[in-house]
Amino acid sequence: MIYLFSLLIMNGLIVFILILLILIKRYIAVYDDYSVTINGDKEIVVPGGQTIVSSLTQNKIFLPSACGGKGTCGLCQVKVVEGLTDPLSIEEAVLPYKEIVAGYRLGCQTKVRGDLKIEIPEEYLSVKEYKGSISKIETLTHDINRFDIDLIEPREIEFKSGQYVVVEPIPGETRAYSIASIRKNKDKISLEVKKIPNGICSTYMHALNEKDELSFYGPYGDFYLRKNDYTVVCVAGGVGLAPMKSIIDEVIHDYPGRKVELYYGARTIDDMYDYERYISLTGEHENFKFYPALSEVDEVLHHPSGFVFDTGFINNEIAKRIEDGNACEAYLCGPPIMINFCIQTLVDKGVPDDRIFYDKF
Amino acid sequence: MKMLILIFFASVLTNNIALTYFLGMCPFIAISKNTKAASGMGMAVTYVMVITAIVNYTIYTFILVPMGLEYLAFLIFIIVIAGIVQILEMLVERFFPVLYVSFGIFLPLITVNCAILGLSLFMILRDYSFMQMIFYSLGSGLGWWLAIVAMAGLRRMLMLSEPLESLGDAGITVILAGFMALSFFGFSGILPV
Repeated sequence: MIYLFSLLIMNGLIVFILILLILIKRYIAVYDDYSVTINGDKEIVVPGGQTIVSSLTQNKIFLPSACGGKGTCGLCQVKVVEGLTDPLSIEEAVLPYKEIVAGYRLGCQTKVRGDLKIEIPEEYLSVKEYKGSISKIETLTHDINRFDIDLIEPREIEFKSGQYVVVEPIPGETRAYSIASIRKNKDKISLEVKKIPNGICSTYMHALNEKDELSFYGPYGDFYLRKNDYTVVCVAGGVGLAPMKSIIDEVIHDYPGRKVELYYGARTIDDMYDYERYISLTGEHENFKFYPALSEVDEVLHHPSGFVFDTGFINNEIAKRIEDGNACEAYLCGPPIMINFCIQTLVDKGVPDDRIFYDKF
Repeated sequence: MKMLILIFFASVLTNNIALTYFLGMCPFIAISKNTKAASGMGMAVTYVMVITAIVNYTIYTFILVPMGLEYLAFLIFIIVIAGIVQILEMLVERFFPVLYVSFGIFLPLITVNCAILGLSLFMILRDYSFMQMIFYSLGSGLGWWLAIVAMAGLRRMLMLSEPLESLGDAGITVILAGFMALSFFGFSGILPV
């Protein structure tokens, strides 16, 4: 009897609280619809009480996010022109004071509580959700795979060389991967994914099979090839080689006479991939130079083609090879520590700050 | 009346729930980085403590005790706290956006805060009457608020004093909390409770 009582009380209480929650959500804590004006021309009407990111997502506008809405990466920031509210503590922690005063807020934290006018970078309006099917999986090194993806819906993608797409295997867990295929192939893209031990997204990606479907958002990023005549210095560490393929291809084919150099660093030769391709490319194009370096190898390595793989860190290689830094423009992609060292070396060599672009991961 | 005031000050100072019982340490260490956020968190804890204590007290005395189901108190308290925090968050967000900015965002963090469950359990353990319970929960909440705001103030000074790097951010905070507990121990003689 007593057990029955306790069961009844427990369950009754749970049901009561649940009903109360549902009732309050349904009838008391309801919000009106508000209009959100984006960049002064596009107007959408959304139900209030949800974050800016989720109300934009419902309208097929995708703001980038690397942290999945936790308010730590700061990528989803928007400028609120009208309808500004006080910043939340999370926003004060992530955004610099200057930006908060200027009206910048985090899209994943600030909620729609009235009519809003916001400004977001124009490029995000062209960001779409893509669906594709994996046509080929290639093992590049012991922990890096390349996934060739045929686009299904929409069928074509427009991106700038060096930009990235975002994969979301489970809601809220997003990871960014650079597009590792050339721009001209508009109906397919490639992603190169390094398997991180216990990484949620890379483990998911490495478990995929050919013919599996994958959806992603993109393209994002201000890491892309600029239009000018400076010598392009690409610095890649490990799987950071991915965005360089498109950049190098674009320079060689669309900018006759523009020079491009690829500095590629890895621990050992087993961690490198695609180097055969770049070695043969040096033979075909005189404007392309390839300087690989291996950091955990003691002796200089000689490739059968006569090519030399230097030892040491990649920033030493940069210090050795670059002569006139002022004529260069640098694109760096790799682990943060490598990027920091290389930026220092590049600045020492005379490359101006505003011509150094990088993607840390 | 004298008893009520005694209970209130005892729960703020001598029996401070953060520094004497070391309850609610997780937000105490995580959110005490700046004073404004710490104050918001403290207010949220106070607010939730008073309301959950009232509800838990009512359920305990009028449902559990007459039916002889005191052993369910632990489970029921947790469920009630989780449910109430959800409801409070929804209502505060809808009707008091200003309050929501100052402490509403911390409400979901409190659902699993042990200080709040601890308060409900202490309150039945010590056989408080209804009025005593109100003063006790209010005092405990304010005591926790006092502790976290003091800690946030100390941590702001910490930036200038370059503590040992190997201690890390959380390590030095726990040591600081220990010192604060020692100093609060100094209050122990002044109240008979």
